[in-house]
Amino acid sequence: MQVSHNAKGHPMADGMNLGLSAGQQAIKDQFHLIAREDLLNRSAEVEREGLDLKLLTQLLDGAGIAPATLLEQGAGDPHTLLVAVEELAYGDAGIGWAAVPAFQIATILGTCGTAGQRRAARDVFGNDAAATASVLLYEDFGRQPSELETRITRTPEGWTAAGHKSSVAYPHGADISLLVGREGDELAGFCFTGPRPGLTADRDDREAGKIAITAVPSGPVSIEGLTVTADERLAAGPELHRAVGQARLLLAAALIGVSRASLEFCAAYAVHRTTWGKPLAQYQGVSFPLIEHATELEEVRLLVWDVAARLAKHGAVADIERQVTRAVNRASSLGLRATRDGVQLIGVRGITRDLPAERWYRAAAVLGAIDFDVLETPFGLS
Amino acid sequence: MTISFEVPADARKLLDELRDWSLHEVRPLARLADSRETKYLDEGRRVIANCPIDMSPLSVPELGLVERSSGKRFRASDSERASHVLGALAMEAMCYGDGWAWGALPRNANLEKMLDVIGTPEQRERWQTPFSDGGDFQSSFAFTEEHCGSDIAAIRTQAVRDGDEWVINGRKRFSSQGAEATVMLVFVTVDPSQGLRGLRGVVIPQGTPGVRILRETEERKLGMRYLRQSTIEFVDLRVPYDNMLGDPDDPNSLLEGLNVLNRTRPFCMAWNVGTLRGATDFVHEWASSQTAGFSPRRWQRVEEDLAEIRASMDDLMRLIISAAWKADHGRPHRIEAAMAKAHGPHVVERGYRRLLQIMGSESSSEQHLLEKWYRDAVCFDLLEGTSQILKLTVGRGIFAAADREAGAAAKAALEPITA
Repeated sequence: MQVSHNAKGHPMADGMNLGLSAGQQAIKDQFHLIAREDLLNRSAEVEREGLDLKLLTQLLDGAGIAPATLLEQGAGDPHTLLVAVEELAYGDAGIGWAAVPAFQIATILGTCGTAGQRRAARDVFGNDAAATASVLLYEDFGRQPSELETRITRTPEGWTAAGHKSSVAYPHGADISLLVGREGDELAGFCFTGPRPGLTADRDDREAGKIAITAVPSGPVSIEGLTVTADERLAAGPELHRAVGQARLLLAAALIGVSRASLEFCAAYAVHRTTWGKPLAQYQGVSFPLIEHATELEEVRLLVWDVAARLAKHGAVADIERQVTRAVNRASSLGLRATRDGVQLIGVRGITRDLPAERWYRAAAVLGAIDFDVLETPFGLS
Repeated sequence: MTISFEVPADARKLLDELRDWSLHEVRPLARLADSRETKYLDEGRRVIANCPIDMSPLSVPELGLVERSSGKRFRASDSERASHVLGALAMEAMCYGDGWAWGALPRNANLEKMLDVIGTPEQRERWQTPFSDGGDFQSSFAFTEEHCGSDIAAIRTQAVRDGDEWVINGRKRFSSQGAEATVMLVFVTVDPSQGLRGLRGVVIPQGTPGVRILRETEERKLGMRYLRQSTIEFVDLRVPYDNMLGDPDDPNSLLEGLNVLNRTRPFCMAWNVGTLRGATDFVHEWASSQTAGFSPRRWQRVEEDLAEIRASMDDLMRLIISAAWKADHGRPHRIEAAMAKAHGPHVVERGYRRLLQIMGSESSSEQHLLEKWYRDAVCFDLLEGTSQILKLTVGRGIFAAADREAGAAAKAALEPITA
């Protein structure tokens, strides 16, 4: 019998590896503890009053994944941020989602940014722990990046942009913004700092009212006459598609975190709530849906991780988009269904604000609709 | 990047060879195995001999996988300890053409797996020899009785010690290849009042006085007809004392051996996925020859549905592989294995239903294999635990974990509200 050996004569240890690295596991453990002991208790206040970004930055910094650090290190492995966002969203969906724009900027700049662009972004985050970040990517209507209708047009001085964006954090303007649109048929990305004429908040959902995820301001943004320069332009081509794909997967991680929180609490409740002489968990009408959701959650997480691992190797834009969209769609559907049962299986207490279940249900409604393509998931499968 | 789902190139090549073998050698005999209701076909001897691998646990510990021609051991995961990941991928590839053949591979059944885990050195020496000699030496597995399946604590077939022998009385139903086997692994109780702790496994050679085959197989059963399931009675049957696997005085010995089933459950579902993958390609090829019959809009939907069936198989395989990867690394994987086996039939059978509908009335003809694969598919939800039973296993795990994490908060939520 022979065992494959590497050049140094050691047995080959390549092949599938589904385990977290020591660093990823440490982040997971650390954030999990913080989620349970702090974020969950902070949820109602954050939803009502908004999030102090300094606290979030401090938290990320403690785990070595503050945006400035990520930008310093360049493109890292995608799974670290997927793990981090899942754990943060498990603690609180609003806080988890608040971390995503900065992570998305670090992810995209890490692959497609120049050293100067990364340095400028690093300075923004490094100089101010409360620096705000906006990603002007999503447009609703199920549009994939290759279908974005935000038009980028060449001018003698650089480029102008026009279009509409949705689910934008800090719609009135952020300290650093990343815009993704299309120039002709090509995906184009720009990163700029500070307020920029040409961006108009159509609505601030924190002020106008929003079902959930109000830790930071958000809303739709109109883009008209926005000018950007060559120094702000990111590398284009398949690399940009891959980076945007990785950034989109962070939403799936947030949905997995919310689903997990909801299922876990509901299962624990079912262990302790007694009806007709025995715990709810012993009724298969209650336990089986939870078991099925828990199984689907494992399946979706593995799907997201696999897509993230494969993105780096996929050259074809259509493949990248289809795989990312399917992963995000599955996470979106999971989030909506798992949090629905997370309320209903608890019973009427589930709709009260005494329990967190109703907040997860509302959070999934927001996150599950940000980047969903009806073409990818027919209604019958949703 | 640490997390990777990539299979090394040499292992991928081996899997491709297995898939070709299954398509070109196994599939042509699929209908014959179904109609003759056996996987031991004279016509199949060459097919079995041509299988590129030996995946016997007696060749490689922990369900390893060895290339037959070179003796080279492959791996698909980063583990240097075991090869469950590659084993699961190999199962999928081996069953691409049809599922009848892999079970006919020599030295590849649960007795051999249990023997490897809990057999004493003397028992391994004694029972491995006939397996290793090749030939037609085959084993069976007899768990189920008329009144109990997964509830193995209720087993009534009893072994009573009489000097240097065990005297066995009882009856087994649905024993996989029971009547065809050279030797049977029969689960008995040495003390019915002890429940699970009274369970033991006894090796019984076929033809031992006291063995009565009441029914060789369930004739014309719905599916998986190539897998004979026998009804066997034991009447004052006597076997030597050391035919009982492991230490007869140690109740934990057999329970440890039963953990083998955690490792084989993902394999069982990979078998199911493998045949669906082949069936999907078969229907795609058939439908591609019939495009004139589909409107452009319907053809687009057909292609989308076929793509989704394939993607859903990939999703399921990741769940299977996740359980296998944990087994490779010696990590707990009972819940993951049960998840894969409980969830899999839902995914696979949904795929088959849509394949039938795409192919239309043509799918019902025995001129094609789709109707057989559809019949076979439902049997996977019965082998090695039904979805419902395995969900109970998953439930025990996830409810305990949830209670550890959120039990205090849940209890607090049940406190009466105060003004």
